[in-house]
Amino acid sequence: MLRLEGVRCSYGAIEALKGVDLEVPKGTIVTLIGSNGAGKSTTLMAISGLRPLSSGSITLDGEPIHDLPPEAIVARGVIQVAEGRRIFTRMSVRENLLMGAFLRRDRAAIEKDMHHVMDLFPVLRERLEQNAGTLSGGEQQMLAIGRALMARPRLLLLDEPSLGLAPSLVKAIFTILEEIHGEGVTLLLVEQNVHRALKIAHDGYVLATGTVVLHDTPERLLQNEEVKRAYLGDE
Amino acid sequence: MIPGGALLQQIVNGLTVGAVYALIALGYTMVYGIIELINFAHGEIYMIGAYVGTISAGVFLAAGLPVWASLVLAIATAAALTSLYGLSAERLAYRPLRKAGRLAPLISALGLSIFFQQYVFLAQGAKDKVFPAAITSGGFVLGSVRVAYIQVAIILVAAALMVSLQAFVGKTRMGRAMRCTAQDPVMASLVGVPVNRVIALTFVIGSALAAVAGVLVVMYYGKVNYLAGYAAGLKAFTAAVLGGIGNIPGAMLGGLFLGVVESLAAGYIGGEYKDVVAFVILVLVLIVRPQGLLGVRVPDKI
Ligand SMILES: Nc1ncnc2c1ncn2[C@@H]1O[C@H](COP(=O)(O)OP(=O)(O)O)[C@@H](O)[C@H]1O
Ligand SMILES: [Mg+2]
Repeated sequence: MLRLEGVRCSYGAIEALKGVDLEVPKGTIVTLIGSNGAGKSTTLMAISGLRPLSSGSITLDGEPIHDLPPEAIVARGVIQVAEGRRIFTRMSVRENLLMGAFLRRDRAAIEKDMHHVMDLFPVLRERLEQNAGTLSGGEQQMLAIGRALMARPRLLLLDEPSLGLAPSLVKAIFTILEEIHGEGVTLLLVEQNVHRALKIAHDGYVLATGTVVLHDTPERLLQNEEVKRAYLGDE
Repeated sequence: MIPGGALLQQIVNGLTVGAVYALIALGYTMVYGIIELINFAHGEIYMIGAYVGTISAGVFLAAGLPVWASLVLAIATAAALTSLYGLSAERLAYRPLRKAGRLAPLISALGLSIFFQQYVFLAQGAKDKVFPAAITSGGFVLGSVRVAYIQVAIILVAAALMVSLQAFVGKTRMGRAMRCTAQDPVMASLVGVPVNRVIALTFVIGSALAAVAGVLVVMYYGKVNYLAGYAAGLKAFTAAVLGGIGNIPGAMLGGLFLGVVESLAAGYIGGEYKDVVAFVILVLVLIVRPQGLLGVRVPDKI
């Protein structure tokens, strides 16, 4: 479904991506792991059309998307849950969800999806008219995921959705991700919670200083000595 | 002490001028809210609006249209054509510099302000441009207060525009997109908001409001000249800062407040001091309460 070939990306003189090759087959969960500064967020921003490539290509269903503006990529069903949640804090929860459906015009279906999202995240129903800035960190992450779902994604890009959350919430988030995948959404999951990410993924990539250093099945990556030492710690 | 009747008179006059400041201040505050730029050319946009309105009113009257129709059409024409100036300004002078830090667009705005002044000077001359229809005369007396019809018109038009703007920003899809872009343009892009178009729309709305203000003022005072944007722009900027720059209701309130205070100062202290009062207020607000009356955001990046 999504294919990156030789993707290079720079911030001024710093080259953050040095030729990334990555593939996300339709219907799978692919996880992208790597330490801080490896280039994971930059990869997602490049896919979303917010970082220009200096070379390489990004194709969606065989069509190049790397020259499209971000809204055209959203319109193709590629939706990102950005790092740090980035909910609109000065808007209500309802308005945040509506913004997720910004490009859609099917009012009735939007209303229906809003209920679906609130079934998935019951806390959002209770807080619907509340200012989103008053939500806790976990609730904000749920809102960020719910907002992305409002766009009816085909491919969901998630940038460290479990970052900074209590263990029980982390578990809840991963359960929800599997549910979303069960509904037919393809996932590209960037995570520092490597163990959990590899547990639900079909395929894994390890990124280090802007290049893919490992690409293997989750089972094999979980057994890989380097991965164990660098990313799995005591687990 | 001036007598009570005169006090009321000053307040009515102040509200009239204040409504105009408020309309112009909205353009400053909306643009600042969305791209954190003080658009120093905004006063000139107002001045251009006054010229376009004056010229087109003349055209419509000469074509034999009734006075009221000519005035309404002149306002609409000014809003439409002047918003094209605002749109071009954003496209040519600001957008190319959006990633160039803070100072470059600010300097570009100052340059553009001078450019617009000189452009109108060259095209229209240095002499005052006189509004073609005499509408300053009519009015009524309420107690001891004389109210001109044009004052009523200014206050009503300004109020209607401000209510519409509030509804647009608060309730519509594009209004929401505008607020999102103001908060987090990257995230706005990620939900599919065409950020460049939203920014352009902000300039269009701000310019149209300033143009309407320009036409209303030239109807009120009867004339305009190519330097008129400077003082009005500074006053409206003061109003925007007073209300908390980036804050829409704040700009409205700041405009009305400044208009009334200025008018009272003219009545109590003397007309020649009224501009001084505005700038004293600007300096005081910046020192004592830089977030403005309603603002929560500090304009630390001016
Ligand atoms: N806005 C930026 N300006 C300059 N350098 C950046 C910027 N964002 C990221 N970088 C650099 O690019 C590299 C990759 O960053 P990032 O993609 O955020 O990594 P990750 O998400 O894997 O932690 C890092 O070296 C980082 O310092
Ligand atoms: Mg990151």
